[in-house]
Amino acid sequence: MSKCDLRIELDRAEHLYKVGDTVRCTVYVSVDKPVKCNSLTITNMWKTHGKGNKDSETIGQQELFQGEWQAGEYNYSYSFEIKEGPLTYRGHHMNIDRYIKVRADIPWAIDPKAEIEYIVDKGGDPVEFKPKSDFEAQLHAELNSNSIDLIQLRSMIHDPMRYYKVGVFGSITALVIGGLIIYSAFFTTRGFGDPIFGTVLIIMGIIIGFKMIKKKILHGKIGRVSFEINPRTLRASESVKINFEFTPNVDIDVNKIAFSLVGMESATSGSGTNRRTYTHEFHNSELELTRNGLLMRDMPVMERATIEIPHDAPHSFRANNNSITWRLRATMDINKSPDWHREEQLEILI
Amino acid sequence: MNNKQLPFAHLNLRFNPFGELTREERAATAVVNLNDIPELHTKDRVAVQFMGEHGRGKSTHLIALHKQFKDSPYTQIHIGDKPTFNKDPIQFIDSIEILSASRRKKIYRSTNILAITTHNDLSKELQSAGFEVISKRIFFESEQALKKIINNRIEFARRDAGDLPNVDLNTIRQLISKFNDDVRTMEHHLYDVFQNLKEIGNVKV
Repeated sequence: MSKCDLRIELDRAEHLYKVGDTVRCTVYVSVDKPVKCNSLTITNMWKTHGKGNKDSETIGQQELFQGEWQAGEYNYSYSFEIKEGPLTYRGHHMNIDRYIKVRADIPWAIDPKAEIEYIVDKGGDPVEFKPKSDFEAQLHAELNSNSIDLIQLRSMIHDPMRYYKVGVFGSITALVIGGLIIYSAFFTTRGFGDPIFGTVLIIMGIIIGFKMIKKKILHGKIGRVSFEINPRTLRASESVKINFEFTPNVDIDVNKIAFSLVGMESATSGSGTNRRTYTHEFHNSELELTRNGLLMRDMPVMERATIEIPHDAPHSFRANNNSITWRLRATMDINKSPDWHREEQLEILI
Repeated sequence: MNNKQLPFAHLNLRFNPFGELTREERAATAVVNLNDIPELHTKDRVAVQFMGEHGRGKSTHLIALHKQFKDSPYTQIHIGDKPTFNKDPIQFIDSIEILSASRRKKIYRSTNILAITTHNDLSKELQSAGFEVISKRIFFESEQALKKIINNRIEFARRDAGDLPNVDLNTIRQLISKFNDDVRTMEHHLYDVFQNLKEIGNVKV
């Protein structure tokens, strides 16, 4: 059996590149006997690794050679410009890395292969959205844009009382049906339904009812809260502006109003019912407003704030099993009342 | 926030050895003993069942056996799945007991060589379907075997020649005292240990 060894060398010893740089590599092939190669293929790709299932995507692929090697050493050059994401990421549950892989298709033998990692950091050049993951990020960014229709739609979704009637109806229905099942099972001779199911329905009814009561109390006190952020799509070191407005229906004693910028990574392992998602908050910075204490009834509260995205913030990333997301969370800690909170998603571009 | 170095280079590794692996990687890292399973290619109507508790390595054994039948389908079943099976006479089915008895019988009728994982012993129904049944119960074998499993995972993640983090017998004993024989839970724990490991040496848990 002939020996065929592959090796890849990059033009930079530390393997470190920025967006816009050209990666130059050389593939070395060493064979000790004549060997036929159906295809020597080089692949530029990204891959996740960590606690979740691996996601990967090929960015580029090229055939470097096809034919027969005589005993000896051969080398092939390959280069490409980094025009796309994702960038290298080191997290707790997930990592994103870029690889150059080479594989020789040798008939009737185990294909020799080699792999090398390279690091992609932020650079000055604008990024083209080429790979699927970047395309999805772009789509999310567009969806998050501030068109008037979307603002109206968000406003409807954030109406705290929008689902109140449905919730109350659902709670009462669950309690009544659950109660009837339990009653029929224990107090009549011809019971219907499973008492465990009845108990589950009653518990569900109580939980939904409790949430609706909480919502009603909160809405009764603070009314409708407007929490708008702009822009929703931005880059590291840029700032997001926050408009926060509401008019209390009663005098309320506020302990704290705060906005938090939260960066979260998520990795999912397994599938089906064995699916398990691990999350890790890698960034949480809080901006607490000076306004607290007693807020008077019918006196509008209008707050403006600005939060800067950290210069080293990883960009948003979404793949099948792994993601990096950024959110702005507003919280209001009200004395002797349920707390109010809302989150808005941000898209951090490369 | 983002430390831009080659991943786990400080430990002479390419990735966290206890992260999720693909099926091919699991096959490559498997430490299993399949010596007691006869050559199956020449057999007719034979079923191999790997039995055991969660996280003990049933699937790893099935994946390792599948390496000998790379062209045959391997089906992983989860609760709620409604998988379809092709007409291949050799089938590898992970968690077959999730399927209904009638569905299993249908598979038995159309299969010649069957390799499965199951929590429950299905030898009676396999025998009544005409299979010669080879059962292998997967359980914790020894401290040495566990040490080999864990260090094999570390070796698989090797970056260059030289030293690697080492899990010695003392650490293995500590893992066993914490997690009994649940290898999967040990691996989850070791993932977090390796995330925080600063240098090559004996791993403490």
